[in-house]
Amino acid sequence: MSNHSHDAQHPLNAIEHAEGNVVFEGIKAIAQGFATVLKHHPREAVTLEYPEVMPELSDRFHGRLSLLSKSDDTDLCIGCQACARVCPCDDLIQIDMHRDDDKKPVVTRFTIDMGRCIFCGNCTEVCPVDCIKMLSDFELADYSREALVLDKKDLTLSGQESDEWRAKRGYTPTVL
Amino acid sequence: MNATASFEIPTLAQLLDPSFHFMKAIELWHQLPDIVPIFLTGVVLFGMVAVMGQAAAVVMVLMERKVLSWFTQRKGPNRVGPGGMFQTIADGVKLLTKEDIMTPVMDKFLFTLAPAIFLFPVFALYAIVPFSESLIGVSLPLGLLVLFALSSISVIGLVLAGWASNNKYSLLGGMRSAAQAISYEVPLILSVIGVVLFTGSGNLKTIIEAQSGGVLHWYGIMLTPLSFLLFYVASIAEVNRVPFDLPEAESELVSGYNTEYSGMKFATFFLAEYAGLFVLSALTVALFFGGYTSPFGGTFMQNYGLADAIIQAVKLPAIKPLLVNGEQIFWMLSKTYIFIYIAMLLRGTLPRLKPDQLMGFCWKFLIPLSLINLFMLGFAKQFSLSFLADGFAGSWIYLALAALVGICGVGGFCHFIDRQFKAQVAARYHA
Repeated sequence: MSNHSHDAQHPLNAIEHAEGNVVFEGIKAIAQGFATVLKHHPREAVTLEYPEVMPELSDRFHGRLSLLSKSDDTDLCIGCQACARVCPCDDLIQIDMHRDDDKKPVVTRFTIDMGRCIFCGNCTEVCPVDCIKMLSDFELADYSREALVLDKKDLTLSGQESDEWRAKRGYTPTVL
Repeated sequence: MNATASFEIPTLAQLLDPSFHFMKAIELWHQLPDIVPIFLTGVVLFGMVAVMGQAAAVVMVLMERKVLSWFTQRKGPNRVGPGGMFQTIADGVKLLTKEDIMTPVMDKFLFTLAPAIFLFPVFALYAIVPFSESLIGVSLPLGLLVLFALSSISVIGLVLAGWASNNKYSLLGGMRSAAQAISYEVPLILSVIGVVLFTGSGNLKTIIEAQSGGVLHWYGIMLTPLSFLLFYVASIAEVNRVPFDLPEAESELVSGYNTEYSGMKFATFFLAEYAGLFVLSALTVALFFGGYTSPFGGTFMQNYGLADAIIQAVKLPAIKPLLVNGEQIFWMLSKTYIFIYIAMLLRGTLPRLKPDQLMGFCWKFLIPLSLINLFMLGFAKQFSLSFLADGFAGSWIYLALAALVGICGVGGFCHFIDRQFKAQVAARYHA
């Protein structure tokens, strides 16, 4: 027995507690059901036919990871390893960096294995320079696992693209 | 036409005239020995039934998917062909080429036999459906009896499928279908007896001719709307459609009797279900909605001299039956598809019944109601015989009396059901 079986106010028990004749109340209820279904027949379908029509996604959509650049196309990433440490997927993010003569950080390797990413977004939260971000690109399928390991070249957006991204979100970077 | 005339060499003008070839063909047809036209007619009719059964099912599967998707504001199948038109054909090819899986614990002979037993009675039913005054397989004096005899055979196929699968879900589905089909056969037959009572014939063509006077002469509208409702509800249950689809209740029995079926055998079940829905919708139209006659009585071709005008224009008197029958097929098919649409509307609206509700609805509601209905119709028939002799004014008295008896009978029954139901609910809540 489910919970509504003794609840007189529950809509599923409407017929049992109807005032009028139960046969006519039942016919009325079925007719109302028909009317509701028929009302939906002429309505426009809400389906978006995906390959032809792209869905409108939220700005906060958790899609492909990418590295933003400074406006002059230089790297924003400082190689601090914060994203790699906070990542729940073990060694998903791998970063090699060294410091140049001016003690400025130089990132030589930055790879993300998108095939294992769970799109939790922790890396984007923790990044101290707001460099690693998620785009709304969700078409990530490829023919092999190796092809899903994106390197720094694949991940990095150009200065112009990064500026567009920041402008779209009304976003003030912490460090530039 | 003498023998030498048929060997004359035709002139070029004759060869270019299509009506010449048409007349020649008719002439040849009449010169054939009697057995050849009879045999050919049989072959053509069988081919037609097979093709129409398949084609109707193919169209209806697509229609079902499209219509249900429109009800739920989706697009339905839309990838194969323009607007998804060839989806069913693609599905059919897929099912044909699929592996036919049989587990070692099955009764292989019965497992293979079951779809055939389910399918053939349904296809045989096409023979008695009058699609037009000439396009009818066999016009039997007791066509209705054949209808009920054949439609009861199908259920053996379902029970066999359930048994031979050696699977508890399948067996439950098969047993449910047996109980359901046997129960709902009773109101199905009782509701049709009223029509037979008024027509005095079990021949579907005679029944249609009796309603050929237009909408007001249709039994489902004026004379026995209750019979029509009972027949339609029972026939929906007979073809195991929502809300009576317990034999294949996918949310409780996986897929019921056809759980273990795959490939072409599954397709056969699928085909037979839709063919059955088509036949029963066509019979609803034939019994209660004037069959192949137009809503304004007769056919436009005959009533308004349309056929004669067309014959005058193309100068081919032989095509008159073609024109009339064509229009009749049009009316028959359009009315049938309206009822198929209603069956889909039912599927889109109503939830499935529980087994006890299903049985209770039939034995405690439909059967008593159809008995009362039959009694009322007998009463009305008796009054019509004694009053109609007095002319038009008398027939109105008969109508008023019949309506009074009808309202009293059905009203009284509904009141009784209401009292029973309220007592049950009260007992449950005070216990």
